Amino acid sequence: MEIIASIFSGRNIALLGAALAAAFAGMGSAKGVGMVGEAASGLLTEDPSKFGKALILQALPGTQGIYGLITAFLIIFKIGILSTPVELTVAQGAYFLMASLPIAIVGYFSAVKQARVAISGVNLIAKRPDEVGKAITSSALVETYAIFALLVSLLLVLFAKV
Amino acid sequence: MSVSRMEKLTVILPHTEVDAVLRRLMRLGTVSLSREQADDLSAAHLEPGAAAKAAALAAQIDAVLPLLTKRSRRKKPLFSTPVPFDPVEFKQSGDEEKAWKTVTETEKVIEGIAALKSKLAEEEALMQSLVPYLDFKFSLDDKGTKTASLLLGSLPVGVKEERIDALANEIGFVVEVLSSDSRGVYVAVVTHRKTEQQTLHALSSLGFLRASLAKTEGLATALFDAAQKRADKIKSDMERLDARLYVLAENLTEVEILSDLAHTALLTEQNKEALLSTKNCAVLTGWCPTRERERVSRVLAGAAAAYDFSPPAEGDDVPVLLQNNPYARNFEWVLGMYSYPRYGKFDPTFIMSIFYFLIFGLMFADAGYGLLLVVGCFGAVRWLHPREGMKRFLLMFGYCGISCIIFGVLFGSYFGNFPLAFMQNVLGRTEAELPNLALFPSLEANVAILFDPIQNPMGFLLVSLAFGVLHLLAGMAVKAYILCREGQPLAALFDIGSYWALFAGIGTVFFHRAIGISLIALGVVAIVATQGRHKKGVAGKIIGGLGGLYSLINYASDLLSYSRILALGLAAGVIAQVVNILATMKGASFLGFLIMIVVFVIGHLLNLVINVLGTFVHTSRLQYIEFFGKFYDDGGTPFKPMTVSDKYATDVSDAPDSEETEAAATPQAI
Repeated sequence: MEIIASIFSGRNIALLGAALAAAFAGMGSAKGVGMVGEAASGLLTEDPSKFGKALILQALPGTQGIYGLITAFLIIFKIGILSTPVELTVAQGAYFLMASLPIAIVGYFSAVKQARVAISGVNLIAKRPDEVGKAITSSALVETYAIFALLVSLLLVLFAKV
Repeated sequence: MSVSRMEKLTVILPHTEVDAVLRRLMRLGTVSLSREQADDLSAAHLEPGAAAKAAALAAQIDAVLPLLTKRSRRKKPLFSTPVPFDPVEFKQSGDEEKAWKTVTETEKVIEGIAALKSKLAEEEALMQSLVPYLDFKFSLDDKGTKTASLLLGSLPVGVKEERIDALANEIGFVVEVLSSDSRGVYVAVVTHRKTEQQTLHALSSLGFLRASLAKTEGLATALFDAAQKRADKIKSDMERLDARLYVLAENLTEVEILSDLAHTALLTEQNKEALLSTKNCAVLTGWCPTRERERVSRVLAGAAAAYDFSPPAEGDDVPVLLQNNPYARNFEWVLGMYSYPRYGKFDPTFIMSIFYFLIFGLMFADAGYGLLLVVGCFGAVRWLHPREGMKRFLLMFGYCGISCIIFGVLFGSYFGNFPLAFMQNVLGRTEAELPNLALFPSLEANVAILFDPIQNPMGFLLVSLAFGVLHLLAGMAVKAYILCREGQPLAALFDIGSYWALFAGIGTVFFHRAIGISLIALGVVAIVATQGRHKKGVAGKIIGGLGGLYSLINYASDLLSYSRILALGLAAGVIAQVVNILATMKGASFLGFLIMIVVFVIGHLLNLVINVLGTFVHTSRLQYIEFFGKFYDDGGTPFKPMTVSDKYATDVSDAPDSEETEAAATPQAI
């Protein structure tokens, strides 16, 4: 029992939150960037000169991973892992775990959905390279919700009482 | 700050003049062609096959250009600037002939290298097939003596020696192993002529294959050496040809000019196809900006052509050319990425450029990154002489960098919290020793003049939303202005004024209850009363009015969208903090400084790139969706004038209208 209690200490539960934020948002971005990259390579076999445009579209679903990373870092700062560790109760640790959930969940799904829009954007610039702005904009619309989730996670972490 | 006025241009000219007039208009670069359709007109001015010929010439030059470019010792600048040249002089000085010679010789050299390559492959294959028999001491075509027969060949790897020996004893032949490799064991077999068939049969049951060599006259070593010599000769020939390419590449500039000339000829042929003609005359129709009318007239007056300018008629698809001041025109390409305004409608570039500047800076508020943007972009424009499109792209980010610096100073961000991290971790001082610049000491400020967004995110959220309110109100104001300009001041009052009364009421209700509530009530009544005015019937009008009230939800969601300014601002700040922690972790030692510099440079450059992309995308989005949605009448076709090809070189001979020409710059997407 004591082992279990020490594993699920307040600080470790908070760290689980940081891990989830970085892991799920990162997984979503990795998947998304990979999907767009495959589509972009198909386009580049036909016309390598569109690399710059395809690269921007490919980079778009990568931001969720960064949002997850930021949330994870803020939790790490807040509980003082890098300086003087703060003692947390289990409830305080659970607070950080909950705070990480918006960006972990929305980050994963929005990255994948955004990648799908970016892939159709790649198809768009294959035929009409001048319309890259529209492709970027419609893909960025999906990201809005990842930004909102990040905002919720960030505010929860920044206002945590420890 | 407006859409240029356009004139429709019609030119009637004899077939003989078509080429000269088109070329001069292309050099002027201020006339766009429209492709007209008319059943009773033909294409009699076109020379059959001319377009295909021009295309073939251009393709011929383009095929050798990359090879020469790769071998050229000329310095390759980051942004290529066109070389000035004069086509008449280019021809007379023999440069054109030299360029053509270079092209044809390069083609020959490339062909020669290809032929040598296939020969070399042949020789190498021969050498490879000879290698296993190098130890064979007889001529390869030696068939043996009168009674003894000699066979060369290979057995598969892994054939048991006992099986060979057994067969050899039974039939009576001798097997000598010459060599072996991963593909087989190479052997010479001596047998009596009488038992030759039997021997072959027995050996093939073991998997024996007779050697098949391309050359067999003589010793393997001699043949191998001869092939080696031939291969070396081929290699040295190839090297000689390749060296010749380096010499030819010295004429790269001339070939590039030739390429531009060929492409200009091709463009001329393609433009000709847009013209229609009768038996003797051709008709050119197109558009030109009104302010360019004089110059176009001068060009046409010099030719045997009849021409006429007329204002656009109803239903014409008039191309759109934007006209903005030197600051705002750098933002035209951002507008172009969305869509151009329709002809004669409001051009939002200027007002958008102001908000773009503000929101970009607020979203990426950091003096350090801003300084890098300013130095990088303005420096590139100053010293690398990029072309017009790239120049505007860079200038826009340079201006946005200024905004980043301003907001960075206000919110105390210099490469994130680098001053603080440096102070604490390297100098070992405390936070209190940093200069306190706070304007309002009650807010947590540090080096910030206003406050630190990471310490006080709610404050920054309010600032973000305040900018959102300004942006949205400006969008509505533009709509009101457009409606008034179109002679519908009442519509402006109903559609914009009623909402403003409501917003003003929400704003004042916290300060003065009575005025606030009465303003809200006025707004609500006005909205319900007017928003259904286009609907038929009383029920329709009421539903329309309530719908107008419901659209307040849209305003709320538009406003909340500006919270992304906070999120992206925090994202940039937090990553910068992480970089600073890693950079200053080792403290104040020599190694510590070394690590600090490396981590600082790599980390902050990475953060800069990520955030410039993110900030660009989301600032654009706030313009496209939230701002343009309020008023923008888009869907215009951008004005694309006919031009000459100037990928490598610009024609600097006398301008077609004998005055200093400043080509109408066309916006260019990235």
